[in-house]
Amino acid sequence: MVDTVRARSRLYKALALVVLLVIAILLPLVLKSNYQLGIAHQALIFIILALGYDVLLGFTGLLSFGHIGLFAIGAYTSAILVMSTGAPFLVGLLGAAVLTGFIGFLIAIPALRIKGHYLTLLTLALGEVIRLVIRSADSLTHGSSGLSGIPRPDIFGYSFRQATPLYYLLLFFAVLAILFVWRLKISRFGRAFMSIRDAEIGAEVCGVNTSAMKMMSFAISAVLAGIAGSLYAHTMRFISPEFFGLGLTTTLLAMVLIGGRGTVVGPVVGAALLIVLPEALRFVKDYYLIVFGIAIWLCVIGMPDGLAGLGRRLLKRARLIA
Amino acid sequence: MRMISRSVAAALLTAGMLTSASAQSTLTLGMVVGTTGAFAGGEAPLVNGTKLAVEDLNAKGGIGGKKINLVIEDTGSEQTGAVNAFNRIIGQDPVAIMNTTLSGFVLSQIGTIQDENIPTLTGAASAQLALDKKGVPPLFRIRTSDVRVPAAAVRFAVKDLGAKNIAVLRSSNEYGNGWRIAIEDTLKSLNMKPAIVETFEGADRDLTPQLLRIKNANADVLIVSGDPPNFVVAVQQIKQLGLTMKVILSNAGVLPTTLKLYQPDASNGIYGTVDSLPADDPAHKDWADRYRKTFNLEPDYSAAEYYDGVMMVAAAIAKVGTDKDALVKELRTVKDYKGIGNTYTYADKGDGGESVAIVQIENGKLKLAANVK
Repeated sequence: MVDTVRARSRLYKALALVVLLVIAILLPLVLKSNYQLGIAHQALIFIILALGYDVLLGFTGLLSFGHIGLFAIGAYTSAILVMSTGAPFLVGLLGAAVLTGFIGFLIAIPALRIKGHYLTLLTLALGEVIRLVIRSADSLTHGSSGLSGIPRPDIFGYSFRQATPLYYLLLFFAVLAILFVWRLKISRFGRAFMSIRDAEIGAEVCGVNTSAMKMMSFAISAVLAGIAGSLYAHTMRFISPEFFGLGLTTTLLAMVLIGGRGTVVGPVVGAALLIVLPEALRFVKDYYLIVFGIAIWLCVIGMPDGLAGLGRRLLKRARLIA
Repeated sequence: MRMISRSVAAALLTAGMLTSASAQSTLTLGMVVGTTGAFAGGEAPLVNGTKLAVEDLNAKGGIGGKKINLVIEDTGSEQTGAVNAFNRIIGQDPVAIMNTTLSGFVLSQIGTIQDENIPTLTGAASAQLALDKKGVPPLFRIRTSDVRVPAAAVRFAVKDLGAKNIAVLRSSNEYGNGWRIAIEDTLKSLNMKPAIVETFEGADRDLTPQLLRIKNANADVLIVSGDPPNFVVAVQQIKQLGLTMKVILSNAGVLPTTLKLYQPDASNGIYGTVDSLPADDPAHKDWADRYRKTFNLEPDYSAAEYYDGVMMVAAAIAKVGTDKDALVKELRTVKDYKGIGNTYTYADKGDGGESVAIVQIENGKLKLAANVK
């Protein structure tokens, strides 16, 4: 009986995913202006970034305020590789993923010795240090002037300069990231991450190598941040240290918390919502920040498990009624 | 029933034709500025100047019989917001775009500006936006470049104020960095170097450590570059910490909207750089009076420059029509256009405005201290 319910639940989830994917594929037929496609580009990039952040925060329970620093490293690595050496986009993307993964791994070493608020403070400082280093390394990063003229992705001679092909490229990477994180969650690594989040001592007693798992969580999360950073740089075509500030860290945290941490669908919904909502509320003109703030506040009060949690609760209730 | 259907269809058709005719009889002028967020106050004069120009043109029947419809999109004073706002405007098919003054924001739009090739006029002053650097042909600067303004501030400090030790307090962004470089270069040409260079973050609301280090450096002139919220803190703390050297603020520090935020006793005697002082020019008295009457605000150079920008676009449209390529080409032929806020040149890779003036704050108002070449 339980197996049948689980199988049916998986089937529904798979069906929902297929429907969402079809909608995402057909979206450019509806989103015709560059503005609408530009918002979709940003949403897809932030879905990848938020998914990576959820691996760290939602799966492993480690609150980092330095994630935007890794996002920045990914963006700058890819842009510098492509612009200075003439390397193809994919080399830039790979370089960004490898370097941020390595830095994420290095950050994890001191982070293993501290927990809770101290870890948050350490990562907050690291994020700011990364931003200041980027600003100071003038010869490499052009300092506060930023890097402009970053080329749009070009893969094996096919240019993604136009908004619609670029949308499909970003969708491809976002789908890959979703599948990867979903597979990670149900793997033994995902279970180890969640055991650390729920009861670290218990996990250790059960034989989970918590240090190795935390390092892996940091590294995976950083790799996704690096990929998102690379895609951001080549989509926006301009990056500067100003963009990668603490405000963006707060937005990223809100994406995961409002969407529902510890889930795969949560960061996807959260990222899409927090990118689209401020734009959708433009019609209320100068008051949109108030409306946006109230909407976020209502989300937090009414949905402590995020939008994903609300979905789960509604499904459960529907099943009970049925 | 059929009668009613026909009436409804006819009404709809008429309404559609009217809408279409109305769309054809107007020209859309786009504007991308911060109407919310930290830079909304500083960018308000740009909107005023643009609105006044549109009003004047429409009062004369528009351009070629077509009225101008001004559409403003908000950047939210954020970089991503500036890109999104620019894309929103493009979707409304504007003949030209009056863009934000924030250099970093304009740099983030450069790719789109180049792709769309719509004449885009900006008051952003960063040297990076020059055509021989990161600038692109459809981007026109309606302002004097940061290569000239900080240099003028230094020359005024040395020649008029007799400065021997010049301290620099600058924001960490592209604007502040541009000022630092230009000040250091000018001092170098005068065989001098800064007594001290201090930096602050845009969000900093306490500059005590920087100002105390400047105090200890025994500087006789302090040049401050930043955005309006930074100046409010700097001016107040300069007074509180007892810094007695002469102070020169970059342009945003002497905007009418910023002046209103200073304590009078803290700002008296402070100098500032402007491109011009239209309120002080008898030749532009009518314009200045109309501006005061319409917006209940003292006119400033940035409002005048955006007014000039709209007028230059209008002149170009009147000459070559609304084709964007032709408009860009036509605007690139402008040479020594004497406007209210500046004199502009875009021909031969011209970089926009050329004039610089130094003003002094006196009881919350500005008086001309010097025109610097």
